[in-house]
Amino acid sequence: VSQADALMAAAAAVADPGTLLGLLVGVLVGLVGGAIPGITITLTVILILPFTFGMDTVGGLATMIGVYVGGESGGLVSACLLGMPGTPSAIATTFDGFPMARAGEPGRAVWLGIWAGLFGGLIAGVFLVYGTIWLGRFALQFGPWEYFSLFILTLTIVASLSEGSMLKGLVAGTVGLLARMVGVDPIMSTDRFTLGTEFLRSGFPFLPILIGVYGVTQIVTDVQKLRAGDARVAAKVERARLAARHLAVIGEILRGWGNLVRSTLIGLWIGVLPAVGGSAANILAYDQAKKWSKAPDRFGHGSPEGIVASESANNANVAGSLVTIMAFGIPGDAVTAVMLGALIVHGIAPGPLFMTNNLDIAYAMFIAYFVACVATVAVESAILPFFLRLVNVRREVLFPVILVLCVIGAYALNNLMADVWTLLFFGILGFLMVRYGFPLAPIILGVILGDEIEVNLVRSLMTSDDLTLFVTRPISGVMLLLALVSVGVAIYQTRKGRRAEGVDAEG
Amino acid sequence: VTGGDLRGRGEGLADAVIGLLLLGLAAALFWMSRDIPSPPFVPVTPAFFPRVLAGVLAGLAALLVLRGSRRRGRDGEPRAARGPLRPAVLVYGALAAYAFAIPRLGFYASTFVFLLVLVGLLGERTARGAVRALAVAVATTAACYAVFTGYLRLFLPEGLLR
Repeated sequence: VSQADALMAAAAAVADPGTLLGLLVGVLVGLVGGAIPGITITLTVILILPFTFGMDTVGGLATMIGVYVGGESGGLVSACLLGMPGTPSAIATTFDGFPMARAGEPGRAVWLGIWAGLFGGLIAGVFLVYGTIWLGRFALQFGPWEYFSLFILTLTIVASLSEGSMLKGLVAGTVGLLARMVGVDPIMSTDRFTLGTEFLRSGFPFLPILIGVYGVTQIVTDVQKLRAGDARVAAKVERARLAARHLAVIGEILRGWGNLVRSTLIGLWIGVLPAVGGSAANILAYDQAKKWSKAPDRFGHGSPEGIVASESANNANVAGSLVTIMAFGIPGDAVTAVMLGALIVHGIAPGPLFMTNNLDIAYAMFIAYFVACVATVAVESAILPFFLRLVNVRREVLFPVILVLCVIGAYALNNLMADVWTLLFFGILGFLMVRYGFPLAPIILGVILGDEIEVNLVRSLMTSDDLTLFVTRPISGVMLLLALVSVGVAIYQTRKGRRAEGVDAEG
Repeated sequence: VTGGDLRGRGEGLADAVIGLLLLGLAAALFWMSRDIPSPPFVPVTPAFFPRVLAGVLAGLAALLVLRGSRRRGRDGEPRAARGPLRPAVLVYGALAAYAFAIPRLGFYASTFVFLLVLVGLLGERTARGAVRALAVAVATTAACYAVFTGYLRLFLPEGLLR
């Protein structure tokens, strides 16, 4: 297929009424889910997952992209009006959005965030298109050695960056890889660890694991907090004051273009790094904005720069995550991990050949991303007056309904009850992991990469028994070196942190 | 001894116990990997990678045991979130019963009961709460039927409805 043909096919696929409807519903659901504290974007994408099974590939992906883009924006409304981030990626937005709203400018605070998100998202979208194509071409030079090293690097980065200790992160990653070993092996098709049962022979497919580890665990943690204090919001914000002078707000954002561009680049970079989500991007961008600002003392007291930094960074983060998944088949965060599942459900293998084999779908994802960015602003302005009532939905009603959707998502994948039991098992495992301080991201990544790591390792060993190739092939060698460095840096920082604490305690 | 120290030591202990469990898991997997059939003339057998992973897990678990047993109060890690256990057990129990019921009663009947019970138990225990639970169960079940079976044509086991 030629580039132009693929582009035309992609545009036609996104313009399909069913696809557009899915995208709009996705944006709406994302906005609401993102705005409700305790409901993360990941959870919202998991919720929408079973609905995409019945759609075609582009329709399903467009819906998910809608949720993803809309969700990043939804968090900011709660952040500004309630002082509570709707999602972790809006944490830094509360720092200035809430003070500004309290000082009598709720409309300005919310719209600064919405417009900044749009601009950040659009700038990052350009990188999404060119970055994916460029990185995809780069990845075509990879042999099995490079893939193996890339996956190892990914796992170590995730383990060293995830909350808590790196050791526990590495344990979680290894357990994830081992979970993938159960069932029929990907190369010789022999049974492994099945204990002779048909149940284990089908293995643990990763979507039920993902829904269990992220979805069920999150709901149970939320239910635990239900009694401790009602998370529902009593606040009432005067509707009329949510209006804003849009041209003035847009002008304000564009005059501070340095901040906008810097924050967007930070968001992109964090997005490209595997499994480090928007929760890091917005705080990092906020921090930098404060350092570079001419009025750093206004930060925390309603500085418009703070809102712009946080919101443009977390929308750019979406584009960055999409780059990693499209170019390498590695999920940039939990949301793209679910998307990876959706791709596989529709029979498409993500990875470096994705762009070559499915150019039309890749283009459709680009187009859907841009449409979602714009649609978010439109949908948000339409529902803003009712927003707080939507956010105020009863938690004890919401959580059980979400659990039903989790079960449908796990079951409808292969019409197997075994997958529902897998969901429950990993839902409990995720809960125990959180309880004992093990990060969740590495286990998911292990499960996702398990087959690929093994296939590439075995393939490289069968091609040549020269083990030094992993180090002497330049790209592979550099990646293994980076993996070592990321482990080393993490150990060094923990040591330094502990020493500093010791000094504090003595002093 | 302050409370913080005690908690830190408790966590170290938990880590050590988890490490021991994982060591056991690694050993069991290594032992079980002998049962994996290896085809002739294949230099890298299907048992190879699981064994490597079991070895890595054993090493990491040993470190966890070592660190956990040496651990004193401060550890530089965020203290694990510990909520009350009862609601967690309630949700997991309800989910297990739900999963057990689906093949027997069908998806829609099970969903109705699951929602009725869980919304009822999580919400206020009043007549109003009961009515709300009933309304949610009816509405959600109906909506699921309309969307998943009607519009999207997913194959959910219909059971009693058939």
